[in-house]
Amino acid sequence: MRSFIASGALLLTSLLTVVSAAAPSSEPTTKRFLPRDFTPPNVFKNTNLLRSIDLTKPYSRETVAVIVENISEEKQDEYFVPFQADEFGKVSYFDARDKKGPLGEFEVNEVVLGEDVPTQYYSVRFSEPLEPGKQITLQLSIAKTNVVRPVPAEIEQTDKQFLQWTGSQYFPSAYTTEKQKTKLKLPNNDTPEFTKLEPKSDGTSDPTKVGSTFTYGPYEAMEPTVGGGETVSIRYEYTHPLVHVDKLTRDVEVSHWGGNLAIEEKYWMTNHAAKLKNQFSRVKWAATAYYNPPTTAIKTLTYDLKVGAMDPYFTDEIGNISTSRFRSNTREAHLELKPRYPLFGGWNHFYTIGWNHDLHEFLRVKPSGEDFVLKVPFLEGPKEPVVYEQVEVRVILPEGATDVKYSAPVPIEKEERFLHKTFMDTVGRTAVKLTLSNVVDEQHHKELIVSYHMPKTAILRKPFVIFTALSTLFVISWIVSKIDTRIGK
Amino acid sequence: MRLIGSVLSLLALTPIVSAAASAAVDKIEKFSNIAKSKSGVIPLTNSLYSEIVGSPRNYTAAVLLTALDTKFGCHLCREFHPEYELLAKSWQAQHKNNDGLFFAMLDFAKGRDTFVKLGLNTAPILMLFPPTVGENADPLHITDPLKFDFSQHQIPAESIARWISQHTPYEPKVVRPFDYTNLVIGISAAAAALTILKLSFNTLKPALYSRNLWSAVSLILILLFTSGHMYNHIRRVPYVANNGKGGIAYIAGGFQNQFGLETQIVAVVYAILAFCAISLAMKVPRIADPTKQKVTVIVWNAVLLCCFSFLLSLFRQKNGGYPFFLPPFW
Amino acid sequence: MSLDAFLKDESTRNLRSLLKAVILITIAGAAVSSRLFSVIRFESIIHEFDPWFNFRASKYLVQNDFYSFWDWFDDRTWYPLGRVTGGTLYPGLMVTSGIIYHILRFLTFPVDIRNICVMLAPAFSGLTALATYLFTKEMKDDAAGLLAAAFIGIAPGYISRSVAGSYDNEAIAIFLLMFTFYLWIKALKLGSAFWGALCALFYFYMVAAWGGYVFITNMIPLHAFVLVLMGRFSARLYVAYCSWYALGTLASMQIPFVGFLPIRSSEHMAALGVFGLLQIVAFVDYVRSQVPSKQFQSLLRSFIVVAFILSSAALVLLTVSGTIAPWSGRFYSLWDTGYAKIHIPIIASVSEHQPTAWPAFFFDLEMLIWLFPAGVYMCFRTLADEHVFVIIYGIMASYFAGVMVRLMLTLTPVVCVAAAIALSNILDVYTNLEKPDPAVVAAAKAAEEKEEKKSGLLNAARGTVVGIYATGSKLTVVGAFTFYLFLFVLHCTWVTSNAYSSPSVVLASRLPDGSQHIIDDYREAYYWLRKNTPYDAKIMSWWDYGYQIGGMADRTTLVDNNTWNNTHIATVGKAMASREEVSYPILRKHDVDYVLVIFGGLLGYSGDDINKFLWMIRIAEGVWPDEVKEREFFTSRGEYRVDDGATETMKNSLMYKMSYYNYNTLFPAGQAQDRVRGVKLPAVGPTLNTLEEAFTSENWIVRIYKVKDLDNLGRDHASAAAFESGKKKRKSKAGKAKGARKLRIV
Repeated sequence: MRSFIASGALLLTSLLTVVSAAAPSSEPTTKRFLPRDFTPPNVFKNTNLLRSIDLTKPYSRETVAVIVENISEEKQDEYFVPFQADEFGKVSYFDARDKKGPLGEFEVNEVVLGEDVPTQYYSVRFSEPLEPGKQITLQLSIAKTNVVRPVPAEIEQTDKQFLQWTGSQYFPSAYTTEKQKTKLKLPNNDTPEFTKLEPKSDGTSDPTKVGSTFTYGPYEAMEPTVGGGETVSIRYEYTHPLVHVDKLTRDVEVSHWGGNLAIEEKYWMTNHAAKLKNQFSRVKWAATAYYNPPTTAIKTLTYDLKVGAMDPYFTDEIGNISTSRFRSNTREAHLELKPRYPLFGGWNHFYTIGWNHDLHEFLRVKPSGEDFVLKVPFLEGPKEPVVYEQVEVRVILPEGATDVKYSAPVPIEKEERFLHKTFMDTVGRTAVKLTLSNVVDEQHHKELIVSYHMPKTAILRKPFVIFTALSTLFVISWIVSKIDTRIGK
Repeated sequence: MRLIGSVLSLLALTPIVSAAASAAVDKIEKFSNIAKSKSGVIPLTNSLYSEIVGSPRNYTAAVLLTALDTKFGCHLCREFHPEYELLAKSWQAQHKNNDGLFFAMLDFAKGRDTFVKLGLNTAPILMLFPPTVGENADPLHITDPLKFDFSQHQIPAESIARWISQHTPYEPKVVRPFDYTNLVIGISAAAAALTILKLSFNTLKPALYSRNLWSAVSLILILLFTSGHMYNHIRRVPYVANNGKGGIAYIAGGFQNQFGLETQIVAVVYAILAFCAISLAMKVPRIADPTKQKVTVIVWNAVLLCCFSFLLSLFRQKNGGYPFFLPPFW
Repeated sequence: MSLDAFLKDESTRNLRSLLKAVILITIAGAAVSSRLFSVIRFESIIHEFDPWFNFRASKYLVQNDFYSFWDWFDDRTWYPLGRVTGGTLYPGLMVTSGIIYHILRFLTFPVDIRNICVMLAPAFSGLTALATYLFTKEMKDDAAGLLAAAFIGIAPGYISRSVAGSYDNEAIAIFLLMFTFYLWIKALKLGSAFWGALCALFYFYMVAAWGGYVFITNMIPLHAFVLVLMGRFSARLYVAYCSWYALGTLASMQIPFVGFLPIRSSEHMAALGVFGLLQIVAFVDYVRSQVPSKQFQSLLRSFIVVAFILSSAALVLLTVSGTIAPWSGRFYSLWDTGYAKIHIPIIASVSEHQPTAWPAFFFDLEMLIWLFPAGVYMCFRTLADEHVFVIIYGIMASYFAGVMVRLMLTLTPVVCVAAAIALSNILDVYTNLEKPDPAVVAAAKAAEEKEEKKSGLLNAARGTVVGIYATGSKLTVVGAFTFYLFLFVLHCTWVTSNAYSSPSVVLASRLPDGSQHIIDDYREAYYWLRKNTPYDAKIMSWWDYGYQIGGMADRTTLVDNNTWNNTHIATVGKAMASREEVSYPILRKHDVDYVLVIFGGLLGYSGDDINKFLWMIRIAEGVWPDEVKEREFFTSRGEYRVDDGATETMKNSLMYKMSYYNYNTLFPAGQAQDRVRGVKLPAVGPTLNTLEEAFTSENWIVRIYKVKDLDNLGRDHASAAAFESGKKKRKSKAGKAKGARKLRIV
């Protein structure tokens, strides 16, 4: 009988601790709130700006190298980059660093002016203010999604696919720019159409084309512009799938008992490539199987997991998908998946993959023996270029883990903490859920670090609970067996 | 298309109709008389045949070409004949003067030439000649009649009646004369059985109460059923068949079928095996003489082994891939 | 101490019961593990056809609550009719797994309902072993019980319906069958209303679980009836039967699908009749015990007879007048074996309703099949009430098993019981350690000589038991039977692994290098449907695939394996068997978006639609005799051909076109091969105007066609297609020619 009380007490305490752990933490601090009518002070001048846009993947990666000069009287430490509202939504990530100097990464904030404001800003905060008249070479790297679309939108099963990129002639800037040009890097030089601007002062055509790179500009003495001058669009051949994950959920589950780290990912996937003009023809598909030409269909997805990944599985709503291969050794853990059917443009697929790791490769124990630090990859997507619309990463820690802290490699939009009950948990396991949207595969293989505290007693809860449960069961059954059901002798 | 066709044919026919009206009328007379006299089915000859099927017809004629004579060995013909007559008779009974639907029959013996003329080498054949004139004339079948498909329908009169009513305005009903003989026989048999039972009850009593009898009966039943007798009964399998090379095959090839004899062999084997088990369990321990007992044990064991191994080998014949066997039968 | 002493001695009773428990657990373990072949070879997946419906229903049950399951109207099957699923199924199976699911969830096990469904049958087979043990224990003793448990645990006849993944009613029904019978025997022996009530309770569970409950409904009354005839009427029988019947019947009427059948249909009348008979007999018994006079007794006897005759006459009258439903076709076809073939082609078309050839018996029961009669005989030796039951059960079950393959299932348990009795009798004799003492024997013999004995036919068991002298003969017999038992185990394992462990949804094939290659076309196509067609798309296919489409593709189907509406099935059959111009309006009228056919020609997969086509034709012909004619699909020489020799009707039928559409483009010209029929196909493949190929699985097993929308210019598709392919000049002519059968959609 005492055992019950004991367990009850234990239960209560643990409940309390977890509640404290589950208290909501403050919103991630990557936003900056400013009045609606904000306009950046004209304190800088871009003396020279080179903007190169890489289109070899189905989203655009811009690298902007700009020499910024402080033209005001006092020190300045905040540089604003304007975006039109719709463009703003397309930005996947925005990093800034000191290209030449020693300052390294700069802190970047989204400036929040409220809804329906036509112009939005990113603010780059220099780690040390810039003296008047001094210059600094900023390097901004920006990834934008939804900037390309297949044109024509419907093709034959074996046709080439052409993508059309639409962007601006100049880099949008809040400050005057003395000199700038825009470079476009394409996957190949098969470009049937591109916007021709009126020839430049020196009579050379704009743009100039060298191999698979287009160059607009150079242009002199630009006033501040948000729109970025003319709208420029280029149509180029890209006969590959446009893998688009509408939603990804990734569970990382830590088990101290099993010494195991279980990872499970669910993909809601669509191929945004050009749709089939006619219906799918198996005959043509079978024919292409021998010499496999580039196709817009998703045939395989290859994952390079962390070395030591074990017993992977690949399933969907109706069971195991038999067409997967896994090669694992001391150097690599290579997982190759084939969907049940080739995914053509507009086709959908859902699948679940999961695998295990030995926990010790990811968990470090502080000397106290009760504090742990977990270091796992934040995202491990397929090798193929992917765009994630929404990502949910859930880290499930052992039962009774408290004061959980984490540091994510990418800005988190939303974070919530909850209790996850499974396998005879009494109070449930502490879990953190991180949500973010509009992510590109550039973010794969970055580390997520989670630290938490877990008292030694917590680990003993489960066996104790099981023991009490079983013993009560025996007692009850014994009592039942003693009951006499006969009515009379 | 069809409509136009029929209109045309009608136009074409009208003069003939007016001319042949009288002829047609007395044709009806004639055939209905014959039908009356022959109580339903009109027995045809070559000439009568050509007359009854010849246009113009203002009546419908069902003509059965058959070969009743046993020497043709046409089972279906003989099975079918009474049904056909029954149908004809019941039509006759309901419609005194036939109302323009005749049932005729041409036997091969009488109408060889017609068979030859039509180039027929199978029998029976039931043809339905719709009228060529009148409101329910069917120009598509002036010369080539509808044929009753024996392979698709069952042969009882009802199904023919259904077939006719599908293709003609007539609705023949079959009235099967109630068979009193069966009833009488049944009743009397039951009565007899009861009386016998009553009289000889005392003599039968031990049998009725005898465990051995009942056990024997039930064992036999079980052996029958478990050796696939119901299958024989339902599928009407042959008792034995001849294997391709003149000999007789006792064992049907394949897992899914069997022969009559085969099942009996199996039943016997089962019986022997069961009996071995029984006697090992019951007889042997009751034998007082040690040596005799020892011998019996060995004998029964041997028998059991042999039968079982034979059974296995039999099964291997049915199911090729079966890996297990016992000596001595490989 | 001697073995015998060990077995009898009181002091070792606990030890023995522990031993028994261990043995039973081991048997259960063996029973479960021998059913896991398919899980190990493939994966934990639901098998075949019907299980997919049960699985879907179970999912519905655990997603919604019980009452919404109870009145579940399913509008995603039998479009546009829908199906009152809640009222037309036996909920026992789903509710069972639902309860298990919720218990596990309560214990916070993150278990998937699918895995519960997959593992349910093996788990219950363990329980069946236990029930059989108890049942046989009532017949003879523990030893026989354990043997029977071991037999039923691994007998293929039962495994065939209870491997992991075959999530069908039979999975739990056999356990319920045996357990109900055990409780009945127990109630009969003790004459206890308590056990009778328990029996009724499990009878109720059985009714909820399987249509085969009718077997119990008739077995128990039959047993009671025979006992009465044998003059073995007793208060025990009266109490047991009445408590079972009264409670059981009331309980069974709570299942919506059963409802008032127990008092309205002939299947249940035997039970009612016997109930009445027992009342009369009891009454008469009582009166007789009170009144001595002779002639009065004979009066009473005649009264019984009269009452019996009258009641049966009344029964017949009611049946004829239609107050009581006559026997259902499925049930009736058991007695009149020719019935189904003529009247209900759908029933006849199902392979498991065919009669059983002898190899099937041996295949499913091996040595038990010949131990079975021996066991029955031994029941006759000690003919107690319960043995009568085994005998009747044995005879009836073996008859049913002979008529229908699937009823092998009901035969297997009694075979196991009888065989166990026989075998344990043998082992009792030959494992008895002590030698008989000649002196004693002589004395016994002398005693025996006194009363002279007459020899009967089967008088094996006359005279006193002496025992076995020679250790040698003991060893031979025991050795031999041990060997046969080993053989039996091998046989069962072999059969299970080769015949009963394929989930028929996934096919396995061997690659040249001997490695296993999995052919997953069904799921490929179903999943394509699930992901890339609108949620409310209507899929037409032959009824065999209805449940799978519902379960895996999660799309609306026209017909499925619950074949309750013959006309609707015939409609599909007609659509498949007619020419496009006829089928298209049917498809439009039923809002069909996609048509799915199974085609084995490329792989040599014989279970495809062209081979099932004849049944579609027959069923359609049953309803539209003059629109679909089986005859026209056979050549003049009566052959069923798909090559050049195929009849026009065949070549123009939608099924033929859909099966072979585009197929010949896969081969060099004129080389197209059908590997199932093993024939060369016509050089020019069929053309489709009203449908377009939407998806074809990797090995062409599943082909899905999209039904074209009406032509914008109101042309019929044929001329539209002709126009597309540039035959402009002939268009007008074609138009006229086809004018007659221009498509009109009402």
